[in-house]
Amino acid sequence: MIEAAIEALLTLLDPSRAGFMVLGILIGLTVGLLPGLSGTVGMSLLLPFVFGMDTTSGMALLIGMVAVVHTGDTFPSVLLGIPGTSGSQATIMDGHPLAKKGEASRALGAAFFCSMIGGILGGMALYLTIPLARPLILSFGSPELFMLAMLGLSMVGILAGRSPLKGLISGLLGMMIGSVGSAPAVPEYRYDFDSPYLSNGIPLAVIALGLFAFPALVNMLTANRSISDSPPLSGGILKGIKSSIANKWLMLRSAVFGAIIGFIPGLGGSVVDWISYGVAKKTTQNNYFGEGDIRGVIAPESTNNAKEGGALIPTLLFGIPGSGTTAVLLGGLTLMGLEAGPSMLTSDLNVTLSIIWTLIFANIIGVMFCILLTKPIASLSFVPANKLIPFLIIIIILGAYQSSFAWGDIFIFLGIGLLGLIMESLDWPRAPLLIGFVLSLSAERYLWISVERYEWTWLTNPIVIFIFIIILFLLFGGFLIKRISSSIQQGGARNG
Amino acid sequence: MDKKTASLLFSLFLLLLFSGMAWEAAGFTELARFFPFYISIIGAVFCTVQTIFLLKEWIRDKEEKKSPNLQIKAPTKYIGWIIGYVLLIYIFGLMAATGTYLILFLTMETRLNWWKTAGTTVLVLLFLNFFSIYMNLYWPENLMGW
Repeated sequence: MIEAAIEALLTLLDPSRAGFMVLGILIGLTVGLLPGLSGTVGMSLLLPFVFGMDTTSGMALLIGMVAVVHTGDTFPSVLLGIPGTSGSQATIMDGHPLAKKGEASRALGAAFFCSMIGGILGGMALYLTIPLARPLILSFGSPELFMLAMLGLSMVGILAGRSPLKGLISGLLGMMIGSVGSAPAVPEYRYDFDSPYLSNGIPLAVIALGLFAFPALVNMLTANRSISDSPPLSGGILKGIKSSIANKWLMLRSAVFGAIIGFIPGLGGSVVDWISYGVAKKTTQNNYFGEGDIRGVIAPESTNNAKEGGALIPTLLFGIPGSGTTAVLLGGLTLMGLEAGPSMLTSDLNVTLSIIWTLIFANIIGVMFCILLTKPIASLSFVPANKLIPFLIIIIILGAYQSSFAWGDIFIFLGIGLLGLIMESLDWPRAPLLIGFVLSLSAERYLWISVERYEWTWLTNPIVIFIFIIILFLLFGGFLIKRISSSIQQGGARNG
Repeated sequence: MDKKTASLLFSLFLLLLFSGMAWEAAGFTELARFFPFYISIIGAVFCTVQTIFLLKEWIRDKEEKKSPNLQIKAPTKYIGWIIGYVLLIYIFGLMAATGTYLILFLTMETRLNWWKTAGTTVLVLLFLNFFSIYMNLYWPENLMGW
């Protein structure tokens, strides 16, 4: 496997592919530092453009972007006290008070360094999982793969937060939208209303753009935040790096913690940094968390980048997306002719390894950009939405059209966009809809093959039963962890 | 419109949607039917339960008058900008529509002065051209055939 890893590294370092990685990093940093956008929106923006790319370049672009979102989101969290993405909420607790004390650069330096270490450890966690997971995954047949799809769908309950019923309905709606077009088991078109466009099914990129990007842009324009007072960048980046090294065990512990929590589908993004912050607060002596303690920045920042590597384990190896971002990534794999699951460890192992290298390099390069260009990058956080969004609207509409080069793409994008905006306004979770959509085809196909081949005897298969138990465990365990993290979050908000 | 009323209406819309999809699925052949039919039935059942919950909350909140109002005017304005841009593309093509849309938006919403607006618009059109060639992108067809 070491030889394959070296080969993947050489493939990635080809100048054209490395160029896409750097482009992804720049987009990821921009997405992170603009409050209102998120990794899912960034991924949706890029998805239409990876169609037709070679797999290493496409993945370099997508993973390069997603790897550094949580590095870029540190800027608004520290400087403005508003989260760049949902994954940087806990950083505000101590990052912003530090900035108010005139130590913004120290907080940013610590956050960047910890993000880099966390990201590298997350990539290593993904690498170390491959030899352990390979024999298990290669033994899977259609019944097990169907149960894995069910495992992915069970995440909708966790992602729904306080409204599991809304999450389930959202997931089911996604599955219904996914069933538009030709049926996998028989040559028949469903819900196509005699439209040639609909007979091919609705492209994932259009759904993702409509569901996440459209509402984000409209909401950013509506809010049109204007920034008048921002703390000056002073205090020393190097001082922050030294503080991180002085707290190396906290940093490493939090990073490992992030990779492990990231592995559990449904617990990414907004939860993992709060859990890490809460654990650090409980276990750190003489702390003054909430008042500008640098350790309150180190813990969540080490965690939120490490979780990306952990989150890719179920996505790539088992085909289970645990969040909106990984659901879009799963669709990106399909667009490039790849399929998550056993093939990612056999015929497409080089792609998996190139993803790991991209994660590692993106974190290093992203942090270098942030350290060297702190002031110009920080100034982007202060750009009002109405100066930026008109350009994003052009890219999004052009991107939506690239899905199947038909006007149907743009009309469906507008329709799904309105649906996404309504769901967002009425507190209906949107990630379950995307997960339901992504998994509907594989769930139907594997269920059909399993029943055709084994009738219903496959239900007694030990692995099927084991995965069913995992589904139950994850559902109840996930709810438990979510409740614990929300109580930490509420405690943190009260102290803040 | 207050948020609770909108939630209730949305839940009813989803109930109708799932019911309609189940009705449509009933006409598919057996192998094409089993997945969408049962999923839409389950969806309709869950929507019914959700609608009942929301209806109870709506009645309670109506008496106490505590449900917040939804912000409609500002989002509608920006949705209008997006739909207007799409209509311009449909009629005049991407480049002409992008130029017009950018000049109008940057002048009326962003309130940039004329030379910044003109400079930005030219830069964006050049970038679009370069980007389309480099990334091999396709532009939407339009009524004018440009």
